[in-house]
Amino acid sequence: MKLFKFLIVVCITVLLTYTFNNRLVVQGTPIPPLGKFLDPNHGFWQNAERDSFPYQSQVELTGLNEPVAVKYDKNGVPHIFANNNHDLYVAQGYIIAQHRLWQMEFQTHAAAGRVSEIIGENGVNFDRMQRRKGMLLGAKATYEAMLADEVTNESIEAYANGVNQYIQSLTYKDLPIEYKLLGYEPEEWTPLKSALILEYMINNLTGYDDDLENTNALRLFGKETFDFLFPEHLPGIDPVIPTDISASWPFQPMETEAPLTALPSDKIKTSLPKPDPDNGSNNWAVSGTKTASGNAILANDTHLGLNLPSLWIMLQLHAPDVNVYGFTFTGAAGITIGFNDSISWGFTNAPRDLRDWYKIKFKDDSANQYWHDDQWKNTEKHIETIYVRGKDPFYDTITFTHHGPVVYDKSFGDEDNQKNYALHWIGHQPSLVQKALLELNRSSNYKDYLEAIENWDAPPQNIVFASTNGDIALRVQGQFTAKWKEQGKFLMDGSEPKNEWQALIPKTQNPYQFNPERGFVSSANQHSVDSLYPYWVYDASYEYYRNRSINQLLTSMDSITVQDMMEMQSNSYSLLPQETLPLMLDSLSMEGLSKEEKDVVNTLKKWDYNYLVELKAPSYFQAWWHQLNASIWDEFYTSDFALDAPNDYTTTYIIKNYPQYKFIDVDSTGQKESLTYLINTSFKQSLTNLEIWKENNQMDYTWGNYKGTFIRHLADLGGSLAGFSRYNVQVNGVADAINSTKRNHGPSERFIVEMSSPPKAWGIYPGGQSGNPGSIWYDNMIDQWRDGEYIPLLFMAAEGDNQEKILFNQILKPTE
Amino acid sequence: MKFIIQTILIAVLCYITGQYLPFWSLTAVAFVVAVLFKLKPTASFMAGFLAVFALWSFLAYGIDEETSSRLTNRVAQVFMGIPNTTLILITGFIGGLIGGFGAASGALFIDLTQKKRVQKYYS
Repeated sequence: MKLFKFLIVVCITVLLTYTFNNRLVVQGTPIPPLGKFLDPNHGFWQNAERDSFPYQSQVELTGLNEPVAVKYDKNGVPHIFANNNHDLYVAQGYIIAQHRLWQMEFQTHAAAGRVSEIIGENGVNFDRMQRRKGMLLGAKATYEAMLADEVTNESIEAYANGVNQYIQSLTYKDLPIEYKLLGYEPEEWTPLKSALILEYMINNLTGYDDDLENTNALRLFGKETFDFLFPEHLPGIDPVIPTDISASWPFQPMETEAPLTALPSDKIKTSLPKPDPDNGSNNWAVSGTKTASGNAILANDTHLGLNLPSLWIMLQLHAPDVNVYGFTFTGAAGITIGFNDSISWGFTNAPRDLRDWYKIKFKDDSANQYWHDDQWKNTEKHIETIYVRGKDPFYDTITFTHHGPVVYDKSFGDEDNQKNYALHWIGHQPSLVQKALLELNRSSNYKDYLEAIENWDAPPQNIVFASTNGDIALRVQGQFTAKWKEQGKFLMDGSEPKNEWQALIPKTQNPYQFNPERGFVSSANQHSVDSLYPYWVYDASYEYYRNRSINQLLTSMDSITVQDMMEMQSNSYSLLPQETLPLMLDSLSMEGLSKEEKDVVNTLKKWDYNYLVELKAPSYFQAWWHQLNASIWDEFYTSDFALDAPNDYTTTYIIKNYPQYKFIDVDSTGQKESLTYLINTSFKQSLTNLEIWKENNQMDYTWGNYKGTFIRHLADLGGSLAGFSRYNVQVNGVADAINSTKRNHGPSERFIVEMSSPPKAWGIYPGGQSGNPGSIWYDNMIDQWRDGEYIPLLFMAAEGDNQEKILFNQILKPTE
Repeated sequence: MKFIIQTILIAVLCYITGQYLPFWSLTAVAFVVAVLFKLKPTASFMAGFLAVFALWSFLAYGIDEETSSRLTNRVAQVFMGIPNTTLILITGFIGGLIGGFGAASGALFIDLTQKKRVQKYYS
């Protein structure tokens, strides 16, 4: 009996200890290893930070040649002072890992299609998509290119060394809290991961296309209607680089030849998920002729998913041949957006369709051969092993043609499994932007800038420039492909060689402006050029509103100050209601409206088109506009095939100029609806929708609530880590305003620099320097970001300067 | 008296070993101390539970105070939005369970090896 009792209790003890030491999954909900996690000596409690920097003041690192000093200012920005470039990047790797290890590893896992290893089978479809798209293929190509360049290779090797020494210094107690929560440990960092981080951004910025949706629309509506609904150019578009009429494009374009064959007549039920088409940015530079101080001013804010830990981290890097400050990605060597003693630079995405789909005809079910150029050619097969936490690995066979990976096939993609579509994407090509960035960090004038960005290939960007000697410039830079008219706008026949990319556009033929007469340069993801540019250029996600607001404001402004630029970045005015709301209100019949409805009309009439959080007018308008679109484009929303409705700009153009257009009739009703009828019914419907929203959300639909901006922790799935995220951030703006904020998307950093000598800069981002939710520097900048405030950036000339502003000193020493 | 000493000893030893060893080390500590004290299993369990419950709650509370509850607030939300005090008490409770069962096992073990208990109920 005693023995029995003893055994029972010992069993319970062992079982309990074992259970508390391991992660459990109860009814699909993962539970962290409770004992390990709650242990005050090693568990999450050890991630709680006091109000001071938790970093070691003396660190020994192997591979350093000389000591490196790291100085932290009150914003938690590390200023790294090294005596040579090698040490600089070892230190950068170590310091970034010290701040953001979990994030940098998680993002590279996501890029490589490895999240199933962490979150289990819910990640398998995502991982398959990443691998089928060829993310790893592209990252490997980029890594090969990095290896081949001595300076780049040395930098990312040094960086990896720094990251790994940080990882090796950790015990369970020191691990970032996410590892403890999710119950796993960091692996070794490799230089390939620096390429994966870049691939992650290339996918964010070039991973959107509407080729398959266009194909469906073409089949369903015919070419004439398609061209009407999806025009490539419309009146009022304001391209980044307008054609200079006095000296139009002084070059001979590369020649391409279009095939005579017809397009495939496929209709696609579902297309794969794509990055947010609003991924983009604003940037501009004004010359000294337009500023109060006479110095050029440069501004840049990048619109991406809003996450914690933040996408960006701020850093100053100082070595004998470089002193640079700015924002960078966790995993990339050097500074991505920033300034040095002489120049500043920034980016916006330069959208252009560099992702094309080819229909593949296989000889038989084995998919061993495909038809191309009148013969059967062999495919290559890669078996991808996706490790799944708590389950057996998933094996996915990906077939490769010379176009690229066959993403859609019988086992993946469209519901209709007869489709075989191969992807050809700029993301598969090697990218040398890491090299370009390292050189930009060290550039001191316009000529250096041009040389540095000569290597800029993917993702193509509008690279804005300003210097202390007063130059401003903007170049649409990237490795673009010369295309025949409408090449790749639709699914193409993969057996016809002329459908392939035939020639690259020499970078010397990329559009640019240098010290233009108007005294400023700007870009906001709109059309790069007008139709006079000698090449056919196309993208499905051009921006139509922010860019015109920026140009209108900059044209009208004079004696510009940094303060003006700050206010401009927070400008929440949108041209969309300006261009549509008067027409909508004019068409509204006041007869039969209730008093409440009349009040709404009055509120809208008084609205100045600023999207401010406390107002209801923006919510009324957005709900109404959305409902009106849904009625006009009901053919798109109710289709059985993947379709994208025409964009807001085209919709506005059509309702203003073609109010009788056939699409305006609602298909599902027998009668013929007029635009006026739709405007009236959608008004009433939108108010009903708002009341339902209010009921469901238990709060009023002020714009701030209705938009509901939130900043999500990378591992917060549907509120599972709500405590690590920030919900309901009351921030002004809308996607189409310069202050381009949406639900989970918006300015992921704001940066302004005045090119005095030395330059003076201000910045902010919706997060904080530390990736640790237990740190005061985790989300400390969110409120200032929300309110359009900035922090002055401390740009130190030398290691011993500004000691009064330094809160903490850290020395990285070579191992003795 | 023995009960109190065992409780204190477990707490002190767990505090020291806890600094260096993973949390499961406290199972062993509670076990060994219980073997030495030879309390009745239930009493031993209570001593082990109380010792580690108090120790972990106290340590967690100290960290929570020193760090202005910043991380406690966030993690408490992950645990279905419980109050911070509850999170501290849960921490203590989990530790207490381990300590308690470790100590109970120790008491039962020593009970096994001894033919007859000489002690009275509580000494």
